[in-house]
Amino acid sequence: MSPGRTLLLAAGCWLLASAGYARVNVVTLPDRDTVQLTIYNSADLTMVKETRHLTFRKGLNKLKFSWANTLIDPTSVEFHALTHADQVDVLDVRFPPRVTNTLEWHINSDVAGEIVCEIRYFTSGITWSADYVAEADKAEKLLTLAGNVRVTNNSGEDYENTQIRLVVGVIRLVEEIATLARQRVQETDKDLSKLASDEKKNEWMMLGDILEASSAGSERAPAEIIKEGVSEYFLYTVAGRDTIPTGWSKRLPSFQTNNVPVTSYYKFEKEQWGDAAIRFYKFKNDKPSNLGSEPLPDGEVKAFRAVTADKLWTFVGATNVKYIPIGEAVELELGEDRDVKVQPTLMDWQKLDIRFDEWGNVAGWTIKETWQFEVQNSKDIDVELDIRRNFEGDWSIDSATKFAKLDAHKVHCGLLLKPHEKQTVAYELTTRYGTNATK
Amino acid sequence: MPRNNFASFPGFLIGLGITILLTGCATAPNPAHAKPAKSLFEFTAHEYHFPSAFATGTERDRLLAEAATGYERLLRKYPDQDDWCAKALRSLGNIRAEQGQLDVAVKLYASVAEKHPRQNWEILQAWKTAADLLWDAGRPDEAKKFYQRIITRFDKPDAADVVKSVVHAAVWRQNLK
Repeated sequence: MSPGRTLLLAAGCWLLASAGYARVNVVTLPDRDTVQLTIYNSADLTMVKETRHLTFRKGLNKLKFSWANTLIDPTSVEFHALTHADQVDVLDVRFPPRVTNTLEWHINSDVAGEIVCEIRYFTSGITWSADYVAEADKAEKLLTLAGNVRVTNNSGEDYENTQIRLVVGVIRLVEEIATLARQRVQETDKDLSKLASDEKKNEWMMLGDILEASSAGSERAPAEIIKEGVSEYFLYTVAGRDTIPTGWSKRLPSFQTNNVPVTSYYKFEKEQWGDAAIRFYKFKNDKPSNLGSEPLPDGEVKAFRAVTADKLWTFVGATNVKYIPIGEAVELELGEDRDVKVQPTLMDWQKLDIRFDEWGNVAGWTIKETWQFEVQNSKDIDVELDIRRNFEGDWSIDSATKFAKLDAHKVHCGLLLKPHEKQTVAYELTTRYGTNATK
Repeated sequence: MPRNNFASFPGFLIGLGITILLTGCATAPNPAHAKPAKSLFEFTAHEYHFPSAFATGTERDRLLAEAATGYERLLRKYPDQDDWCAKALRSLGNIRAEQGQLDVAVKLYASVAEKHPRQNWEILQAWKTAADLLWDAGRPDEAKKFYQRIITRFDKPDAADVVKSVVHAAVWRQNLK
């Protein structure tokens, strides 16, 4: 056991018997009955709620709480009795000089016996990240998408048998939280005064309450949509409970969805990716795609494809995706696939229509280039290929293949290649310079 | 009759030391000092101050003395580090209280607000500890001055739960005859 951990154990919460203030040995401490972490990733802030069954004597009881060696914010610590709440009062909070970084609640109880108590506080040092595994079928028409969450605890405190909740969605400004908190407060006829840095934590607490209220009654559900004023945010409750000691990170399964329709296609654009054709998977986070019940947080996607009927998998590629709201499509850029080749070749180049000014200097000219693209699909499935070309200046293009303009400087053409098929695409590019340019 | 701390040479040295420490913590912050100040504070707390709470006899005395030396060194070397100096000053107060030097401790607790007026949490803890120690020592008039400071500064409707509890107790003590 590390020295830090020894200190933490000794510095946990313990109950002191009332009359003689005799200290009950720390090892008799009842374990936390429940611990719940609500992790606000975007702010490095986690709300911790722990409940314990504590045995109180009638009269004055003392309860010590230490944040030594941890990243707990002591200004956020709250004590509440969940049972006999109207018979248990916090009379005082002291900061005993003998034990540093410790506060001592002086609690008056009108009843003797076991009372369920909740201690809640904020800590930093706990973060989470999402990652996904996408498994495409052999034809690359359907995906199995599995989401995982990795929780990393560097808070200095161990959290055993913990329920983990994740707030998804970037909470950009504390003011937004304040707005949400105010909505809640208005319902209860309370007044939330102006924002100040010391008050931020209260607002986060309120957001926690809002989220909790929204997900009440569905504690074990994998996810729950937050409604009304907090629709921008989303609360995941990771199924089950887990222990995450400080200094450790754990990867927990979040969801798995089968039969997600996927479009596999390739893009070739020399200016973006050089000479390689880049593979993309595209799917939509919506109900028809068997998704759409929750936004998908930022994370890395590793994609695989089945290559045999008995599901031998091959690694396709990996990429990072941004937060995907419900209803939005996501395009996974999975890197080069050498089974799809695009070979552009400059077949001819001519300088035409040279014009001179009154002093004999070249004032205008036209370049005509003939390009040929050989494309090859070495795969055993159909391939959609999107070839993109970028041009500058006063240009025009002539081709038997249909090229569509994407913007003032970019055209593209779409090709469908059968398994093991080769095709050739050609175009003639005319670019006018100087006085030859008309635009 | 109250004892005069400065009547003896050791008392004079303690008073002089406090004065030097207090006048030091008022310079512009140097960003390069933040990390070493944090390290020194944490080393002192982890190696000496925390273990002193679980030690007894001469070992406890040694750990407290080492901890005091560490905090004093921080106050001397990094007087520009407002937050770490406030923590060190209050921790030094805790050590003096543990060493039975209540008046010295109270002076150190009071100086937290004087030298580090932005460190609300440290100020609250320092005033509250000073008030409670004085109250428990049978010096209610001096304790009430600290309770009143707590009420004046921290009695706000939007204060954190823990602050409200401290203020609540201060009001209660303040109203006791």
